[in-house]
Amino acid sequence: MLAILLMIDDREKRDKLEELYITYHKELFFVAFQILKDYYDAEDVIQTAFVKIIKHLDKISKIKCKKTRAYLVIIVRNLSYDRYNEKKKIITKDFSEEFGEDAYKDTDISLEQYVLNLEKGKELAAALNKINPSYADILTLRYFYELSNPEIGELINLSSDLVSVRLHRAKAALKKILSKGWDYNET
Amino acid sequence: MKHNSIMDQNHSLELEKNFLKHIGYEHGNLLCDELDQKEAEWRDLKTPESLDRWFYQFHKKYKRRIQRRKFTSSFIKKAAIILLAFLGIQAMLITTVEAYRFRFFDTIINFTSKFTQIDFVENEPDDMVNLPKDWAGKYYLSYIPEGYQLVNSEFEHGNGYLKYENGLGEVFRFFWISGESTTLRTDSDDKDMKKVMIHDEEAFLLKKDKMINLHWILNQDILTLEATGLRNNEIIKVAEKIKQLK
Repeated sequence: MLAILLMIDDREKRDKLEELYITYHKELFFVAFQILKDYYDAEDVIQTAFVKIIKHLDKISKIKCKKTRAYLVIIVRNLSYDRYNEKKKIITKDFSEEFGEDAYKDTDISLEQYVLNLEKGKELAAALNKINPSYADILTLRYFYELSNPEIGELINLSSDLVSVRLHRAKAALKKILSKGWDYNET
Repeated sequence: MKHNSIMDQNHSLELEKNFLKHIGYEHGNLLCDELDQKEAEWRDLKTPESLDRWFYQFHKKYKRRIQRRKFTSSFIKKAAIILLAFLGIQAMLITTVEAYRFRFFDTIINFTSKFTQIDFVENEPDDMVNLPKDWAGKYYLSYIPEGYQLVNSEFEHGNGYLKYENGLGEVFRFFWISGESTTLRTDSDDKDMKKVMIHDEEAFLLKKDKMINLHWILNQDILTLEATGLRNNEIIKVAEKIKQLK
């Protein structure tokens, strides 16, 4: 069936959704399968992801670019985590368990910290992803893709309040990383 | 100072946003890099055929929905245009019918005037439709009360006379006397007298029993209207609509 889709040479005639599927379905399936280790679940997650993406197609301006690729990966992997936790009846590990209850009370990052750490963005992102991939993803959806909390919630099956809480915790985690230094992800 | 602190606060918020945006950008890059490193694993991955089938169906439905939406929106646009055009045509038709009706009645009035059959002609104050064909008197009435017809007319040496009847024995006359040095004098004994204005000229309205007289001066001519079956406002209206022959 995919062969039929691929036979359509006139790219202009293909719509955005079709282009997205043809370009990314394999790697997205791979992302989901890596987490779920189940073909049917991975398939189900991909279907759910496309149903959700269709509502926010306007956020995608270019098909073949890193921004779109990462956007799709974030959605699929979060839906996969959700499916995995649902199946295994796992309650997600919270930031508070790692750093203690008071860790996310103060999330203000000083101006000096921004300026000093701007060029270390890659390391910071990696460190945050290591603490909790969901934090890094939500932070990215909110600030890089500029989605609202309800939009994020709709995309990755979370309530708007929970998105807000996770955003807050993501910022707190980031602050903790900044105060501990770069070696955090090495420890 | 307060302005500065608000400005600082906004600046700080903007910096924070940009910093977090940068973290998000780097996170996205890392995800892509990670996938690139594992490309060999997913490139040859065989995805389930059922997924492709599902997508094909889903895409078909999506396209149909988009087409339906496009059709609905274009239909609404077309319907709006048709409705507007219809309303426009209707307005034009109404206007045309109205104009046609006026033209039709004009013709009737003009036609009847040839036979000195004078009817109600309020709509045509400028037309000399209620006069004899060869009328050359100095004045004429452009408004005739309903039901009245011209029964007699005379003019000589600048003076003139028009007589109208309504068939019920009620008569009204209009006459004017030309005279540069003439002054208006009237006998108001036993009569109710009222001063009224005919345009900018003072006029005397005298009433005795059923007879009403109205006298005023226009262009140094003395004008008089005399009626037995008209009310005050009606006779004043006749006077106001008196015109001079050009």
